[in-house]
Amino acid sequence: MTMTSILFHAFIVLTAGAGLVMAISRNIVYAAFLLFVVLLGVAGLYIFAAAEFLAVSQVIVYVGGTLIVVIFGVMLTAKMREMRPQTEFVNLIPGALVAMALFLALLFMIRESGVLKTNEVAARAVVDNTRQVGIATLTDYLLPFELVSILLLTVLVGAAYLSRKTKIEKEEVAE
Amino acid sequence: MQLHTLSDLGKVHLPVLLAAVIPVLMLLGFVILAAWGRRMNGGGWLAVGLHGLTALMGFFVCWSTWQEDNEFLPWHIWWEWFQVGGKSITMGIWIDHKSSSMLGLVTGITFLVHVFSLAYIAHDEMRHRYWGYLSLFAAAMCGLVLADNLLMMFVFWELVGLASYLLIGFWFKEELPAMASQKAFIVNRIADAGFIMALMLLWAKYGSFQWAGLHFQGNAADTLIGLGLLIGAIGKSAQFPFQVWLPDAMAGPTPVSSLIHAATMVVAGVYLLIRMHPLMSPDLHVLMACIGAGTALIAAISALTQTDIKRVLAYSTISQLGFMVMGIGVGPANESGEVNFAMFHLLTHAFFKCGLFLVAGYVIHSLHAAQEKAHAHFDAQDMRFMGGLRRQMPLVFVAWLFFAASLAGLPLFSGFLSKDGILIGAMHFAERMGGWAWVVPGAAVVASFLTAFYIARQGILVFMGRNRAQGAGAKEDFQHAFPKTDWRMVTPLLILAFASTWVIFSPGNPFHPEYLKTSAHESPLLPWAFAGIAVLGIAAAAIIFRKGPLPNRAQGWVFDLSFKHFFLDDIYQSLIVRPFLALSRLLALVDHFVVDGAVRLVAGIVLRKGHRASLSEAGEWLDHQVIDPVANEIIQPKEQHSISRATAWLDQQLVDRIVNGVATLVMRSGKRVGKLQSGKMQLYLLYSLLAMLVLLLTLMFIFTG
Amino acid sequence: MSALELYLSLSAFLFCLGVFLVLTRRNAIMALLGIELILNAANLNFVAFSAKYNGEIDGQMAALFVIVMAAAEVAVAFAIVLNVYQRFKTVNIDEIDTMKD
Repeated sequence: MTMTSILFHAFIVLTAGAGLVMAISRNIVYAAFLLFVVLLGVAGLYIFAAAEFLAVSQVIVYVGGTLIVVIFGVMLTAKMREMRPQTEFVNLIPGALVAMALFLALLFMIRESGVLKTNEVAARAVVDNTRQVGIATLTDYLLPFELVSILLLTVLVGAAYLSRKTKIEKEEVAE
Repeated sequence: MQLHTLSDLGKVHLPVLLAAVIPVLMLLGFVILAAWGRRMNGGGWLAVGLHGLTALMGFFVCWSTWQEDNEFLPWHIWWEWFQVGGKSITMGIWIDHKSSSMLGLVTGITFLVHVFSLAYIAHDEMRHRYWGYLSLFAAAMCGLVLADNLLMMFVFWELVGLASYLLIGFWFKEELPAMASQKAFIVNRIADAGFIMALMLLWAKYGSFQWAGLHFQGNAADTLIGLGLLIGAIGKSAQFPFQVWLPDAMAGPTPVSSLIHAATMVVAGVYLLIRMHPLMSPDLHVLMACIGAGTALIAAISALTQTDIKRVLAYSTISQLGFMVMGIGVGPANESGEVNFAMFHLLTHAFFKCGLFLVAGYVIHSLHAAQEKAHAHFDAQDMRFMGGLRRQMPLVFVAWLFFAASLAGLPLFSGFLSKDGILIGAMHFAERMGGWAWVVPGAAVVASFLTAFYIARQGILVFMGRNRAQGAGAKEDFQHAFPKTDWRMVTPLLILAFASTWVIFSPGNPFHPEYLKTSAHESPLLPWAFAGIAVLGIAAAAIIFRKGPLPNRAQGWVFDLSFKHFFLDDIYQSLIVRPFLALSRLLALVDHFVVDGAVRLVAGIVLRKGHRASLSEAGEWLDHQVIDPVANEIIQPKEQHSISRATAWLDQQLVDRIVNGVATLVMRSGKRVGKLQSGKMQLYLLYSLLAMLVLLLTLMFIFTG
Repeated sequence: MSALELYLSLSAFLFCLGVFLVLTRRNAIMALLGIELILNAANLNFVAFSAKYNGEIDGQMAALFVIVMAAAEVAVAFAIVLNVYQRFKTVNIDEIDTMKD
């Protein structure tokens, strides 16, 4: 086994393990930080799949942006005064059963689908991955790119609108 | 000429360009009215201005084609719409004498109806929607007449259907218009299935939707295509057996009835048949002749006894459309091989029937206004409460005389020119076919006698004699409560009255349209004989109704037959609608107990919620709701029409029981299923994932096992 | 196991963990974390197949757009959660059941 291979498997195990602990953790803050680990692990796996730009985006956007929002959300809503950001389960057994059945079905389908019987993944480093992504963004994917910019603007406005204090609440506060 | 780029538009003939711009402008009008109509105080003036402009453009297009001889036409442009499977679907504009005449007709009448509506709809709160829908309709109708292929035509065909649905149900808060709009839509959908099948067959056989160059080649596919198109056309044009939607469609605003359900949309079917008649097999032509003649006669009989001023006209429209379909079916009255007279009747009929409806609208509108002022209350559409209105609205009465004379087919009016052509064509048809085929012209002649009769009856009941409103509880001063002449409503009437004379259609010869190079007049007395029949009809009506409407005791089963339009609605209700509903409910039952039951069973086991198994409950309910009522309930005798008595027993014993039982069953079980709707999203998600899992496993076993 | 199979299996695993979180947590934020897991699982598949078919960048582009969408989704979702919290004084999903009839 080469060093790359060992690292690759280590990342797989890290990601899967963090995900599992996260799923069964009762503490939201723990879960948020474990999600952080999972996202980093996935970013590492992107590098093994020769998608460096994506890995960097994952770290910057997801870990740097999304996760911060999540932690803000936790802190703004969990009853911090009680210091017990714990959550309970509902439908625990049926949920677990369905999730496991789904996992087994998916595994079975991956094996049976025939995708694996074709060529092996070449874990090669493409030097100009970022350049490729840049060209694709401004040629084939120009329209989605522009649409996404509009979407982000809309989201910016929408999120600000949604989280402002509404009139009724202000009145309630005034009372 | 095919257009490849936008710059090719520069090479297009000006009238064609204008014709293409017309629907676009109208659609733009619709968008503007839909978005800002409410803020523009309804936007009526914008709509009127827009349609005034398009009417001028339409007139110009029409005028310029009639300057050309037929051999230089059509002007045809097309461009690629999209590609599918290596074949390209085109859109295009086809302008010949027929489509340009239709375009001029549609834009012109739309404009007149808009002007009329300014006063008619002025105080309706939702008038912005009215103007918007009208623009949508006009755009779709122009697209329909300009289309150069059947697929494009079908698209606009459905759009006019939508606009018609929206406008019939314009007052959707009341029950009647809402139901009527659904009925119109559903009946049209059934007929449209024929159209769609014809399109598919056409594509399969010819790989194109172009109609140019199609003609009957004697194979079965052509016959089937023609049959499908015929079914679609008789749905839109309200012919037997699909005509039941049109009388109910009168629940919409009267100007809408005038524009859509008399002058333009309903003739779309006739227009389609005229376009496609070279593809129709000889058998289909005979079928068309029979359908047309039969519908003309049935509808004319039904118009005799109607008391609602608009329903008389609705049946009259069906009857006249029957004349047109018959005119196509019997083939040409001349040697040119064209079905000119059906097209010609379509054009003349549009003007005078539109006018008749607008007169009805004027009468209803004035009566409503007078009722409000005099605090009287009676049905403003019931002719039995009218009478003597010529004193209150002399100009409208004069206009009505023009329209009615044209409908009856009196000389010097447009109806005389066109109807005679169709009747003579029918006679030729009968001579060719011999024997039984004389039924067709026979029915047509009787129908045209009845036409003169019922329209004279309408005039006598509405305009002549003395006012009968007092019998309905109106006060003495009611006759002075009528509003003053509104020129926005009267001017369109006068223009239409002028258009109902011979002047526009045959300026040189008032008795025979010279450009329809017909040899039909080997017996020059025939047209005069038809005019004589019309005069007879009018005279008969004058004698019978000289003392106002017939008293109620004059009614019997013959009267019922006519008044209820041969009980067609009742027959459909018991033969089609109710069994269909029963079947639907049965399927709902199966769905609920078998399908849902199985799902709930699985869910119940997985969720450990202890849902009781549903199947035993199903048996219990069946027992209570179906078997017991059949055994126990007393049969309720109910009002039956004479003809449906035969089906009544079966209906009561079986269908009603099943229907009622199943309905109760479904209602109660629905409440139980409702408990699944807990409002808890995660449970919803769990159910859907379960379903997905089951599906996944099934697929896996199918594809791997 | 080949690399592709590892990628796909891990993706399936993360997906099911996400489903489990969404299904079983009362807390809306936990459910949202589950959705993030599901999105990442999908991305992992995109990238794995992009790597399998050398030079095809489409999978990576899809993943890139998913990342952007996820950022947008989280922003809006948390705005909604905050709103819900202000109105219902809870973020427990099963207590917010005004959708039932």
